[in-house]
Amino acid sequence: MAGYDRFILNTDYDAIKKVGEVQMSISGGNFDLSAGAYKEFNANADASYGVAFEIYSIRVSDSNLGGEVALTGARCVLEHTEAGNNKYYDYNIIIQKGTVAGKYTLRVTIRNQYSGTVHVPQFVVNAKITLYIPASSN
Amino acid sequence: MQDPRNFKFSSDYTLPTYAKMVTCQVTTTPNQTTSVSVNTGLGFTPLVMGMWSTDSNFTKSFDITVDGFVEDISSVSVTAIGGTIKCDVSSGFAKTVYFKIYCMIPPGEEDFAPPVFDTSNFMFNSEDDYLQVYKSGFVKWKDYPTGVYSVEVPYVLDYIPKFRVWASETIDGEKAIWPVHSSIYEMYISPYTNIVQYIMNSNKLVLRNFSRNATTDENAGCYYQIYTEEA
Repeated sequence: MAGYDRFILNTDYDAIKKVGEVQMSISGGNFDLSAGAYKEFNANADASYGVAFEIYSIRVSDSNLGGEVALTGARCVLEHTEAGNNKYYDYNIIIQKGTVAGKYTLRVTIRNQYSGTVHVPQFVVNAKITLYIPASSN
Repeated sequence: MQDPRNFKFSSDYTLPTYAKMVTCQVTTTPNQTTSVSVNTGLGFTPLVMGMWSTDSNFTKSFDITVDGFVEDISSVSVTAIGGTIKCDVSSGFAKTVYFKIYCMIPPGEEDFAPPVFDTSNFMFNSEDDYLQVYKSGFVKWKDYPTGVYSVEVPYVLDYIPKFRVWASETIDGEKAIWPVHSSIYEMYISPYTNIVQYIMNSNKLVLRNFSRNATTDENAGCYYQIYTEEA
């Protein structure tokens, strides 16, 4: 028990229930990006629920981040310094539902928007999309 | 009955309460920000979740935390201001954007929010997995010093849980709440004045405010919800 001293179930309102889950993963690294260049990675996954709202859980592991970090939201931006100098690159992580209902795309763009060339180390991006609908829906 | 072993409801934790779905559409004038406001009929400012799409069937859709740079849309923001939901869209083209927005009751306000009769038919069904809140709250910026600072919300779990964060402040005399997308190392600039970023590691949620301005606004802060995870 943490955070609450009583449980309130208020039937004046609706709860939300889970109807599915989608997981996707992208990894890469060990390449150089010149100033202004970017690399894009895509992964797709199917889900059988077309109408739902989603809670995103994104984990990024990159040696420049000093370990694993967790993010939420469907668009995440990370920016950090390449170890040992003042060059930068950033991640832009977008999850979109695809043109076929229920299909999801995880897109990770790594961009060097600063001067000079940067080296992108090994990275792993894991995304989990949990799908919910109002509990009283069919 | 799908599988009797699926029942994982825990009365140790509360349910986030869903009050209403609001839909609207915004057709942009090229190179301008176009706004549409919809009355919720709710007696409180909700926490909003939801999606937007450039097609009415939502076959290709984005979470409202995706704030543009896709589908020829330059920017998207959704803000609950008192009893209205304001949707702002800008594009270099004439585009129609459709919204489905789910209104949740902020933590701590469940007892004070008036009943909403179109969702008052909740029937608990132990075949379902419900979204449950492990921990939630509101961090009020005025309780902390000015300048760059972090507020840490500790938790004790053997996994990194799901979570969501919303920023809040007073706009035109009303409490306004909007979802923020996550970032680290880069400051997220809100539609208004606060600058908030957040990150979670294996034992704490860290909320950071980069605003250097002192505030007396009782509504300026961050709502957060950390959710339980099914086994």
